[in-house]
Amino acid sequence: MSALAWLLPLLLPLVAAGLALLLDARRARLPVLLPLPALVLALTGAPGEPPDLTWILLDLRLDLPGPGRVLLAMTALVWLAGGIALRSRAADSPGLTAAWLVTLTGNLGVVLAGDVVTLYTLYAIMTFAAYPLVIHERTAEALHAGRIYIVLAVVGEALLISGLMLATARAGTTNLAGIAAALGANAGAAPVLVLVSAGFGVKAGIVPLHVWLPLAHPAAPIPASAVLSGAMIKAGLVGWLRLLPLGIEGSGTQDAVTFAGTMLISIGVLTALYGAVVGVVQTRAKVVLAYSSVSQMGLIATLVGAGLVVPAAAPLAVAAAVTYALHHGLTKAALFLGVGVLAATTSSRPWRAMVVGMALAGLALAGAPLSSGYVAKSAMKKAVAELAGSGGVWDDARLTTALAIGAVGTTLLMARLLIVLVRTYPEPRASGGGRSTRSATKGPSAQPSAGPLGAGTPLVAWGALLLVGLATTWVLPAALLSELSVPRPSPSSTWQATWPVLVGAGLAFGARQLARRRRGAAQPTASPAIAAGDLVLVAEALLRPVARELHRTLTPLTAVRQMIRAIGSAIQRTVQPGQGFTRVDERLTRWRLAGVFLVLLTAALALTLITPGG
Amino acid sequence: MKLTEAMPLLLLATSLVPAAVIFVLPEAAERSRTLINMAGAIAKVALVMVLVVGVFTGTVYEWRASFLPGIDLVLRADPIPLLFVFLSALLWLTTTMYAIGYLADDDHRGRFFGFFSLCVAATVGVALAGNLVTFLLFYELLTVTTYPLVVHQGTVRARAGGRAYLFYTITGGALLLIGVVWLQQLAGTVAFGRTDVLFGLLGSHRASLTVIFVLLIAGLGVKAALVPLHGWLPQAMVAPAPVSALLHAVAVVKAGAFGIVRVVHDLYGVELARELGVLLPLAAVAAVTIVYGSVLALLQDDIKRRLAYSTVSQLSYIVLGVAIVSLTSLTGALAHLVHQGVMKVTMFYCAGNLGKGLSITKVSELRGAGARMPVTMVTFTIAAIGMVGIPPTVGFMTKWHLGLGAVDAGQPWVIVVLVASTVLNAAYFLPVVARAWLPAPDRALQPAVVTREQPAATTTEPAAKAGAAEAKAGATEAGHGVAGGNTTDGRVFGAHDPDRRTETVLPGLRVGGWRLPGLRLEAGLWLLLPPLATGASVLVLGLLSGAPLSPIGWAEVIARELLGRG
Repeated sequence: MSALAWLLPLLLPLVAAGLALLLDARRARLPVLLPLPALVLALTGAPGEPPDLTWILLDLRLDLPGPGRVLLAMTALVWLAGGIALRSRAADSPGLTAAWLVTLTGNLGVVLAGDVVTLYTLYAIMTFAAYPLVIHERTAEALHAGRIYIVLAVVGEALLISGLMLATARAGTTNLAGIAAALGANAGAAPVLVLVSAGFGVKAGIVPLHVWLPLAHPAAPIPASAVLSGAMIKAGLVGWLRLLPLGIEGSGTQDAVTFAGTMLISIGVLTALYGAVVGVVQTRAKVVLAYSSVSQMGLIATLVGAGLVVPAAAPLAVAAAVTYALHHGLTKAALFLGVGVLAATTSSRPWRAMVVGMALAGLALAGAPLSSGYVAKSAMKKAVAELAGSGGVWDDARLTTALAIGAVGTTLLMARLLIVLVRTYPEPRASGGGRSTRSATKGPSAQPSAGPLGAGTPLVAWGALLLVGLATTWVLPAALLSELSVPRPSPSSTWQATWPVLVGAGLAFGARQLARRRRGAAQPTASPAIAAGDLVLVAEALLRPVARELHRTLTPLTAVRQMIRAIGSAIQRTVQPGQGFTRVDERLTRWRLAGVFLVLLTAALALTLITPGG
Repeated sequence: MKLTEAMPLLLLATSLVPAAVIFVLPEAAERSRTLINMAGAIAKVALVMVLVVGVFTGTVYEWRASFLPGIDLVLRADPIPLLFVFLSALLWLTTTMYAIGYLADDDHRGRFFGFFSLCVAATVGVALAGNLVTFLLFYELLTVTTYPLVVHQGTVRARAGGRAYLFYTITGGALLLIGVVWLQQLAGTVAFGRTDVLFGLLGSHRASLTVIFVLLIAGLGVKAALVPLHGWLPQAMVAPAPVSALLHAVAVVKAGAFGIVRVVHDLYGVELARELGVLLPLAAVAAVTIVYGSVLALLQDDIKRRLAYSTVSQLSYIVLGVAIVSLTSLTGALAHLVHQGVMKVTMFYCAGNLGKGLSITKVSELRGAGARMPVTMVTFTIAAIGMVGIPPTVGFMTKWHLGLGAVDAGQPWVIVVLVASTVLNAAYFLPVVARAWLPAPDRALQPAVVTREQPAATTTEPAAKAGAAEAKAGATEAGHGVAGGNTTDGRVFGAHDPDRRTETVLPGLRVGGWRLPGLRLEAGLWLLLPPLATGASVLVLGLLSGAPLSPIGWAEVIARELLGRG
């Protein structure tokens, strides 16, 4: 029975994906139900020993430690909400449903994996199965996003596989805990740590590996954006937590681990700020949200880095990271779903309610008091405080300041989101009139169907996710992780959580007034100062001529080969019949000549026979 | 004759007897020929199964006959050759099926299937050969019997490809012959597995042994397509798809790679090879080949040419794994004999289906192919993912073992090569897949038209054949005029499709609320089942890599035996 509880969360979606393709599963309820076994597993905890599956892959093992339970619950909830939202558009194609379910399997499997081959396998399945989700709309924009997504995915896989091969071979085990321990104890682990961090960093959206994210997350249909930005982005975090030597006191190799940790903190801070700066100039809601995800993952990365720098603080840092992941996953998914709901809202009062709801979700992301973000940020502060006296580049004071600036940035991003939302989807004048053709994204399939539940389901998913997000973040980590307790709001902590929000809101208001005065009126169609995808667009512009040049220089390679072949066939032709050789051969085959040869041969033989001594 | 002696001969007979019968059968005896072909292929698989059970329970199957004074012909089945025989028997079965479907309206099918069977007989001989002389004999037989298959279509290009094939392989064979004769002079007949014999000569004949090694590897390297000896492979891709499958996956290139495994591990042995210092150069050649093949594959627009260069690259995984000595990498290399086989054979089946069904031969023409031939493109996608080395496919299992083995052997540079190859493979396979699944460009796909190449000027028969094909197409078109219907996306297709008659329709099913829609298959079952079977095995074999008789498990047994011996 316990084997079933372990395996059902992974097997059911896979089987369902097969059914969706084979059967006419256009009205699939499947996506809604299938994350449920995983949710049950996360809430009840490991049901006894995981099953022994030596035949599958290279000895498949599953594992579910405490932090994994929080992440599994988050993943299942996000996919559940996404699935509810997807129902209204599953009519699109069974292919979308199948890709959705396979990606779900991969995402859940990443959290459940207990050995490195299983982790890498399910990680890859998730990555590549999500490609159809990204390009689903088949617009030029989606295809471009898909291209960048795949390129970065392959780069990530390449970095990751080299790191994993080195780590596994040196550790002599495929067990994740064993590898992490070996990395902590192994001298010269620095390259491996960098490779693994960067490999998973692609998925986590760490600058400069984030470039696919602001393109792919907005290009996907809204439910897919929600799971991409809410759940799948955390697969990178899972990888870090399972493979990096967190909380392992190395013997003389602490240098490498500290180095990796410091790097991760630095890049995390950079990512948090960079995402906020680039995101705040965006003009499309989903792009703003994607950059916000980049920025938030930067904050999570600093926590992982802190755990590496101070091994004693690692359990707390890990707990804080998964709490933050839980909060961000649920809130970000809700925000993405909300964009879809708002786009489909056709009357005034629900529109106002939605805008208020989105503002509340935005406040939660910024960490306003009493919100889920407040819980996550207090856990984060506790973890960062452990850096005191570590003597590294990043002590607790500096990091706290950096994180506060990050929080201001998040508030700015959320203010920007609201501005963009209100601009893109202005309040409908009359209820139910003239607004039915509006959609969040281009393409006919962006329309939620008008079935009895059709337009309603994304709304249900959105609302439920907001409430569940609030509740679980307060309760779940404290219940599952011994390092954390439910935070008790005090005046000082409330103030610490409030001022970045106030500053951010003030800045946003000021900037808006300034812009109003200068431009007179808002220009909803203006293109952003920094286009979505930022660095990759530069890279593309630079690489295109290089690639063309490379192709031009490589094509002569084929030309050289053709030349060699031409020479070869020329030789063949001269050696072939009709030429000199044949004439010689013809002469040789004349009987008379053969006779002469025969006589000569006999003579030679006779001579050898009669020669004495031999 | 005892059964243990007769088994190797029986194994040969399962393809020699069909070959003899097919040569005698009249051209028109389609049904009997198919029957004999399939019977032979199935009998061979059954026999191999018996052998596998026998060998793993400790029976030794050996047949020995005097060939020349002091030189015996030896056929011997132990785990190493059995892996190769197993692979070729199974893939021969699927490829025979595929060839029956693919050549359903070609001429000279008697000639084709006769040589096809002979070719597999030679492969079995190569696999079971118990010493180098026996190996050489069957290796050359393989060259000769494959030539008629390469030039089967009789076009100018086919003949040019065939000529290149012969030019390279005969030269390679000559090098191999010199090496074999020299070694015979030096050490007499050395049975495979007796690595101690040559090791004993290390002190007195170091230089000779090194030169012989180079000669043998160069001779084998032609078939194994080591750069710069690979030139024949991209040219030979003009052969019909089943032949390409045979060349690239089942027989020819595998014979070369298998020979290299034999020479390094069963003749010289790791210790001697390491003493001679020939392994690192071999690994370097393999590494260069891997990258070179991938780069050139990237530049090809012709699907089959791209696949051919990919073979060049992939085969050297085997050589690389052999040359970096560690248990894990040797496991990966031996398993890749099977892994590369199932992946590449799938891709050639699919390329054949695309060419036959949609007249698509170029990567640039692939848009919309996924919608038109979903089964074919799904299997192609799986195989392509395997080639890139994305788990859980077999390709990943190879890469993983090679990489771990390289670190074990203290040669982590290999990981750079593997990763470069991964990225390059992704660069030349993933866009192909992605493009095929995009909707067709605005203009509907061109109806498939049989475009034969310019026939050789000397023959008059292809012109008549083209006329006949047109007549046939016209007739079937009339017969299927009613059936030419709408696809799900509403586009009318197939009105001018000469392959309509190969289309199979499976009726739909309704069970309760679930509806299993009726399927209109994109091609005949003969053409679809082989890629489905091999494509599925790309996934299934990878998923079950931990199982005892999986390629990986089997290869590990062999690798232990090979390395434990030295």
